[in-house]
Amino acid sequence: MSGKRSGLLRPRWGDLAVGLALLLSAALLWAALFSSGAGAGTAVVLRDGEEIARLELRGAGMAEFSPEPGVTIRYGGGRAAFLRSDCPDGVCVRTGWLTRPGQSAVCLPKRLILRIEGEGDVDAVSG
Amino acid sequence: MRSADNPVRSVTRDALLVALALALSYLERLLPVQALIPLPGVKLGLANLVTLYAVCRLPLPETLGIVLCRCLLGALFGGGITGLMFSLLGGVLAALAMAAAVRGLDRSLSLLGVSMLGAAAHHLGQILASVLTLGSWAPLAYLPALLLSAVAMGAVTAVLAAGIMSRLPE
Repeated sequence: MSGKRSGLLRPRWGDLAVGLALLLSAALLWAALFSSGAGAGTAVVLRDGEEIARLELRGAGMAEFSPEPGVTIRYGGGRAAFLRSDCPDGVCVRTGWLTRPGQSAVCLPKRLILRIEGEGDVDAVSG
Repeated sequence: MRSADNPVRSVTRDALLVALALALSYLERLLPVQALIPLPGVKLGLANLVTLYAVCRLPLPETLGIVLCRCLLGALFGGGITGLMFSLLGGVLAALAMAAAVRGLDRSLSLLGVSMLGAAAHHLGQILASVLTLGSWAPLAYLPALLLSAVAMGAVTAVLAAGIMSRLPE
């Protein structure tokens, strides 16, 4: 009986391959999404995939933006975060500060996305 | 196969498995995993435990039937139509991935690899669902962390499943 259980769990080479492949794809995806060396330039707020606001992050002072009643985004000094949200799960608020281009916080119940874009992404392309 | 011999027996068993999967997903909502890791979708995957058992012991159509019933009833009990898309894409992809992987069981894979693949496929399906819901690729940013969690949580689920299966007759 116990021999059978250890049989089901005895690691084979394929388990190692699966584990390594998953870790490797996580690392590659991470690098592809977040490797831009640029600082955070702009925070984009999207609702249902449509851009509803662009928040300038380069100023030193902090400011607040409310995409809808019950939701407050705090931004400035190179970072942005959902400060408050009355959505049921609160995942967006617990995601915390976003500081690097590519990072985003998602509020599924309200279909809101807060996403960071790099400094002068457009300039970098045209220049 | 015995399940084909006795339809009453297999209907009863499948209904029990659906009920068990629903109860486990409810139980899972009480565990504060998300308070520790604030990412949408990070969880132990207790409902996948039932799928893992099913792909090991039952034919694929029966496994898919159990997953579909679990998702439909789960949506009826409170997931809503958006929730249905999330659980269907996650649940079906996980079942298909594990059904494919389970062919290598005892040769090149143990339950650990099968379960990790299932967890990863589940997350992939859910990210796909949120990409479709939000109309943006932004949710993809969560995938690296979710793949890491698939390795850890997949291993936990595999240990639980092995413990259960060694105590259940074939």
